[in-house]
Amino acid sequence: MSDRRKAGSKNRVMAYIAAAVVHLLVIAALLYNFSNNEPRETIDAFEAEKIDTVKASVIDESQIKDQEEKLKKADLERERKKREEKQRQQDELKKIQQQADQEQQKVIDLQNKQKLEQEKLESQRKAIALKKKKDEEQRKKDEQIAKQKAEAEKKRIAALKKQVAREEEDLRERQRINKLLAEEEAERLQREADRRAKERTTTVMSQYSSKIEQAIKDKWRVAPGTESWRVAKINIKLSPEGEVLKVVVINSSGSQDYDRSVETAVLQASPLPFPTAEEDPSAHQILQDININLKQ
Amino acid sequence: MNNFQSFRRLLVSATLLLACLVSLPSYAQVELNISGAEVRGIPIAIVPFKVLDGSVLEHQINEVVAFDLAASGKFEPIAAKNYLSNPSRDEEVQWKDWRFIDAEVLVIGEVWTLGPDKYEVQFQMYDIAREQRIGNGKRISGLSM
Repeated sequence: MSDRRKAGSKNRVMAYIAAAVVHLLVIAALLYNFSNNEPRETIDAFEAEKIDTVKASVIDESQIKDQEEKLKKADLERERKKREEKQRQQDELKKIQQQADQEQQKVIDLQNKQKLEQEKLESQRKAIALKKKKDEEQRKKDEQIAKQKAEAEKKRIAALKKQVAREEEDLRERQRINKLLAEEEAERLQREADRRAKERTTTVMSQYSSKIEQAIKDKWRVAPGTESWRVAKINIKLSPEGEVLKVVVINSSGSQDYDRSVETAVLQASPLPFPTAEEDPSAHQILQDININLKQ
Repeated sequence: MNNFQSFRRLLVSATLLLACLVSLPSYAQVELNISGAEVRGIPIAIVPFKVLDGSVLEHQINEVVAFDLAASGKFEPIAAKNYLSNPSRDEEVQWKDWRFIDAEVLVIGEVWTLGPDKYEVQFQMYDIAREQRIGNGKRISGLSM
């Protein structure tokens, strides 16, 4: 035991001391157990011998010799027993020692195991930490990517909005231009229509003017002997159908007969050739009020 | 203030008037010129007088009258064959029938024989151009007229 004390480190020493104490206690307990059982028999044996010895003294030599033999035998027996006991104790000690060693080994194993466990734990912790770190990094990365994505989306939407606004503006511009063009075209068409209407009016007016002149001339008759220089100017009002409604002499010829002949001619020519509103509304309107100069 | 207001009102109405004038298609008053009238007597239509009692007269009164009128130089009788109708009473006159044949004056009438060489003549005269009756008469006479 002393060898080991010197050999072990302080911690170990303490452990060994504790182990030894435990073992001693165990041994003590075991011894106590023996003293409770075996020793009692031994004591009984001793007492029996004592009694024998007392008795023998009074008995013969052989008996003494016998007794001595017996004693010797007993001593031997005792010695043997003692040896055996010692041996047994040594064995016990050895056993205890072994047990202690085993315990020790166990402790070491346990420690090793604990160490391993700890290492394992450590490595696990490290792995977890690493994983955590990795996760964090990934998360950060993801966040970054998400952020970038959001940014890009935002930019895209802004660009889209801009484009939409631009297109709308373009559309409005196009519409404005189209409207202007349409207006211009409508104006042009209107002008064209007006021009054509005016042309038609002019044509229709000239046609019907000739017809009216001819119709009146056909009916105009002056009495023989009428002076050739006489001229009269009249105004006539016509109905929409060309009927003469009213004849007024504006500038008299100076001759009642002459004026009358003019008036008669116009009345006789009624209804005059007259354009309908469908032919030309303007001519239809204008020709309802005309002045005529009549020269013989 | 009053002056200004009235001036303003005048200005406004003048502008409106101008606008109206401008907006209307402005055409000058149409002025026609006719020259070259036919020189002749008044074309007159004398419808054969209707003999009411059914007797046949020796002379047609209308022919006699036409002859006389033509002789005057102021009239030009239109031949009876051109007439579109032969009215003898006022309500029978159709203006357009006579205007169509350029008659300016129309004479219609009725005759009643009263006795030998004695007749009662009733006649009416019309201005076709003005669609007016311009005369009527009643005569009782012999054919000497």
